[in-house]
Amino acid sequence: MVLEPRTEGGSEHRDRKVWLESCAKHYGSVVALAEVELAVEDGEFLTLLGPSGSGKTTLLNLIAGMVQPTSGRIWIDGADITRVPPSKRGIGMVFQNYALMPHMTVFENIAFPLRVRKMAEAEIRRKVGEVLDIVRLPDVGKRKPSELSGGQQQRIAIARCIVYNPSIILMDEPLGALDKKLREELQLELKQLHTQLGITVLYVTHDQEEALTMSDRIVLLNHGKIEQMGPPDELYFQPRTLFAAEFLGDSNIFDGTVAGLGEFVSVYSEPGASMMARPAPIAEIGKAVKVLVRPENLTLLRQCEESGLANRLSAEMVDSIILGGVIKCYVRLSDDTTVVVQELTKAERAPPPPGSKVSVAWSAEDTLILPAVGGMTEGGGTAAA
Amino acid sequence: MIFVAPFFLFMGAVFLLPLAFIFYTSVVADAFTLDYYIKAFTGALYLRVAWTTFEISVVSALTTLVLSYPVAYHLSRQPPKRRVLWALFVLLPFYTSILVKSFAFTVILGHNGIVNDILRFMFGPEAGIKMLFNRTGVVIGLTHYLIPFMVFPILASLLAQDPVLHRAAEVMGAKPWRIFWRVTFPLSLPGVIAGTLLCVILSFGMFITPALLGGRKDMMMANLVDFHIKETLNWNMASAVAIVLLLLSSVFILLLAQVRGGQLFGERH
Repeated sequence: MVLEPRTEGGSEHRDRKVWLESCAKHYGSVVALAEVELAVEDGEFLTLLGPSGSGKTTLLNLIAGMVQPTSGRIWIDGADITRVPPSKRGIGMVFQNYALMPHMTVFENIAFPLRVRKMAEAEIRRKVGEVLDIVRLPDVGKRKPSELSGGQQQRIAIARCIVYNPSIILMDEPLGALDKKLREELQLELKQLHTQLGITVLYVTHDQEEALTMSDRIVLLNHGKIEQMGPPDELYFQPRTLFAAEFLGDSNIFDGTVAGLGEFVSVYSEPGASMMARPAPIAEIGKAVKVLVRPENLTLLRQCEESGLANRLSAEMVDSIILGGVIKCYVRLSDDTTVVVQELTKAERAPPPPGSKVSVAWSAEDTLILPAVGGMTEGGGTAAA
Repeated sequence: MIFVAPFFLFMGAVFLLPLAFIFYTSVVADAFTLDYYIKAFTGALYLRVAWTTFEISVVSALTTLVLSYPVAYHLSRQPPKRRVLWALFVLLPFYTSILVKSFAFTVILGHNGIVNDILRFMFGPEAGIKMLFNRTGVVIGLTHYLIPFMVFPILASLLAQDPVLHRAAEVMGAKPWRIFWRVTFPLSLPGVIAGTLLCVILSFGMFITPALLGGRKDMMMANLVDFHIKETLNWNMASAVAIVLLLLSSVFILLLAQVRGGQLFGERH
């Protein structure tokens, strides 16, 4: 069990909870994970977000010890655990299908990691009772997992994980098998549990909403590379790549060419208009770029309405859908691209009928310039080939 | 319904009808009588043979279990392609007639058989073991016959286990030995019990193996039926013993159905 901290290398990361030191995983010629550098802070809720095949589960399995990295080293609490088997890493893991032992009662399931640690019976009984209270299922100890609902089973799996105070808890799409309402409920509970217990959580999901709701920090993965990492609002409001912009939230994207630099960047765009955008380091005159604006930042204007917003395009109304509190309007620009506008639903302001002439407007502050090619960005740390 | 009619006609003609005839013979001699059953349940010979049958069946089934579990476990860890190949080897005894196998065993296990030759070569002239025409011979013969019937139910229950459970146990700090005894083995119990019951049932009706490899003390119920038919020509007694044997097997078959229905362990997720 003694983990000898290695002395050489990476001293600035030694105080981190987890540190992946240029880890890569190849399966033959398939690159599951390109060289990745990742540090997890103590007590942090870090989410690995990405589409399937992006390498997020590989990354989790590397930390769990289920797979060995092709190159690089893994550190937990300042000790090099690259060659340490999973059973000796002192981590906890919550699985998508709960992974509760079907032949054991709930009590025995939660007691399992404590029995492994040769804890006294009275102590086991006390601790199991404690965590059952924490997950608010105090009376199910005698039942079999199969007698519980999916949400309850996952709570038990979480209880089984926190009962032995692992230094870090890995969660592999833990809410993926649950229905939407239950998922939202458990998201909040997990978040509360995280704050209450101060545990470090590494959470894998492909659900961007879940990532935005729960995380202190999101690591966005794509094709085995880290696309961008940062707090949820940073990823949402300042995506650095087209991929990041499209993966998190809805977006309207235009092709354009940088035409002028100043307080705002002016971009000449296909629909035959000039747009003002927030300054960005990638903006160079004459460079082809993508222009991003979120649907909720767009305002739909009747034909002669004034707005005072910097950007304005005329369009034709196509359709509108009410989604309860918000309404989504689809409009077609002169070059046939469709733009989505999302507004709050107001009874006195019904959307114009399909076919009517409208305009969409938005401010320069809400307009972002992104590199025209997905996945390539300065300072992203993951220069694509 | 109409398409299964031929099956029922066939089974009725070659199985149910003869069975009814056997039952009839067991209760009717010149007139209706239960004498043969009373004899079958009280006679010293019949009780001893029933007990022998039970003993041999259980011992063979347990020997088979001990030998088969590691085989099934090993098979379950193989990549699918190699597993098919190894499984073929497990099935090999299956493809050989039990009569041929039993004769082969008389050659292998006999006084001058290959096993005793090796034993004497290694441990001196006194080292030979009598393995033929006694209980040992019967158990060896039966075990050899039963192994596939044990391996496959256990293999099925091992393969049905979610590998995530083992990973979860590993992450929680459990070593391989504990994972086996606390997770793998308990979860394979339905297969173990099904395989064992199946082997007991199959052994009950064994005839050739005890006849060729056993001694006079190893007579099993099927041999008793044979004895009455061929030696004493008491077909009524033979029928009664056959029906008792059928009932005994039925009890175990019912038990087996319980395991198969998962009722011994509650529902799996």
